[in-house]
Amino acid sequence: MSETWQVGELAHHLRDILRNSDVKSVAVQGELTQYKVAASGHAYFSLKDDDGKLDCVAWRSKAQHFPNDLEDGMQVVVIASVDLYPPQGRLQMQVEQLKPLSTIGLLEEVKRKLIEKLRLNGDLERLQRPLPFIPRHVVIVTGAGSAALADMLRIRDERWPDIRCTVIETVVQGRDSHSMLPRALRAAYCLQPDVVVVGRGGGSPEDLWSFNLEPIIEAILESPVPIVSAVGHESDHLVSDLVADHRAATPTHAMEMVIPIRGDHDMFLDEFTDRIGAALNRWLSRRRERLNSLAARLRSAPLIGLGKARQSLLMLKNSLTRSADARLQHERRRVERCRAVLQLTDPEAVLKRGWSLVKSTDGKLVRSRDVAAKAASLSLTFHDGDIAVKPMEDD
Amino acid sequence: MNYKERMERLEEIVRVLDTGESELDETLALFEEGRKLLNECSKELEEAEGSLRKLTVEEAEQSNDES
Repeated sequence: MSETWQVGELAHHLRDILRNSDVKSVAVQGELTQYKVAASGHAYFSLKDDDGKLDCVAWRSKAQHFPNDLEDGMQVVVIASVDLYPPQGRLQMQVEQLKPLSTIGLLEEVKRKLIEKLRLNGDLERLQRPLPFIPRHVVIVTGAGSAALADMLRIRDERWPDIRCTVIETVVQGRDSHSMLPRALRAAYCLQPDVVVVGRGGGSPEDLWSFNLEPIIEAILESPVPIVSAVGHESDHLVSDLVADHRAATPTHAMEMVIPIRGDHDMFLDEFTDRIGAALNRWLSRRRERLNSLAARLRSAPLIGLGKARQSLLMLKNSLTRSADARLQHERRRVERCRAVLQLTDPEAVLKRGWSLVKSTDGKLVRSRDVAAKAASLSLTFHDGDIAVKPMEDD
Repeated sequence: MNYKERMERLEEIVRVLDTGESELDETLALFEEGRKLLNECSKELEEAEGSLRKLTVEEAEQSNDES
C-alpha cells in the first residue's frame, strides 16, 4: 500500500470498522476486575479469563442499574458493543447491562461444557446395556446412613429380601465427594457385581452437583456392568443420568428396576411346572382317546367285515336259489317233455291202438318174416294178453 | 442359556406340548427338558441369594485388595 495513514485517521477507520461489525450487543462472560465507579457515575472495569482481557466502560445511565454488591473476582456476563476510543487508541467494550453469574449459573456453564465434551467423545450415544433379568450381585453406592439408602433397602426387603446386595456408603455431596464417589464406584466394580446403582436422595441443585462433575462421570463411564443413575427426584436431570446405562427417577425407582420380585418368579416357575404337567397330561389323554377310538374301530372292524360277508353270502344264496329254481324248472319241463315222449312210445299204448308184438317161444321179439317162417310156433301179444299161433307155410 | 432364554424356551415347550402333535419320544424329551429348565431357573434364583453387606469406601477397597 503506497498511501501513508495518519495515525488518527487509522484509529478512526478502525473504530468505523468495529462500529460496523457484528460485535454489537453481544453477551460476554468473564471475571470482573478493577471495578471502579467514578464521581461522574460512569463505571470503569475489565473482564478477564485465562485467555484474554478487555477494558470496559459503562456510562452512568447504564451503570446506575448495576447491582450494588459487585466485587472483583465475580463472574459476570455483560451485554456490550466493542468500540475504539481514538484519542487514546483504547479498545473498550461499552457495556449496556451487567449481571453477576450465580454459583449455579457458573456450574451450569461447566455442566454444559462437560456435556459438550461427552457428546464429542460419543459417550452420550453409547448403547445401553440391559439390566440383568436375575441379578446375582447388586452393588449400591450411596450416602452413608442416608434416607435414600433406607428407602432402597426397604424396596429390597419388599421385593426379594435375600437377594445378594452390597452397599458402599460414601459421601455424595461437597468437595469430599469429588474424590470419594469415584473411589466408591471403582471399588464397587471390583466386587464383581452384575449391576451397580449409584444414587442419592433429593436436595438442592448444589447438593446434587457432584453428579455433574467430570471425575464422577468418568468413573460412571468406566463401569464394566450396567449402571443405574438414581439421583434426587424425577425433575432433577444430571449428567450422570446421561452417561449411565439407565436413569431412575429416584433411588427407590432404581431398586424397583433392578430387583425382581422373588414371589413373581416363584409363581411363574410353579405356573410353568403346572402348565408343563398339564400339557403332558393333555397329550397323554389325547393319545389315550385316540388309542381308544382306534381300539374301538379295530374291534368293530371284523364285525363290519362279517356283516359284509354275510350280506354277500346272502346275496350269493339268493342268486344261487334263483338259478337253482330256474334249473329245476327247466329240468321239470324236460321231464314233462320226456314223459310225453314216453307216453307216446309206451308199448301198451301202442298195443291199445291195435298194434301187437310177435315173440318167439323163448320170448324174443320176432322182427322179420324169415325168422317167423322158420319158427314152429309164435306168441302174439295184444294189449289184453298173449295168444300162441302157428305160422302157416306159404307156397 | 440365561434365565430369560430359559423362560422363553419353556414357553415354547409348553406351546409344542399343547398342540399335542409331537410323537411320544419327542414329547417325553420336551417334558424332560422343561423339567430341567425349571430346575435350572430355581437354582439360579437361589444362587442370586446372599447376604446384605454394608461397606465404607475403605472397607470396599480393602475387600478388593484381599480378594
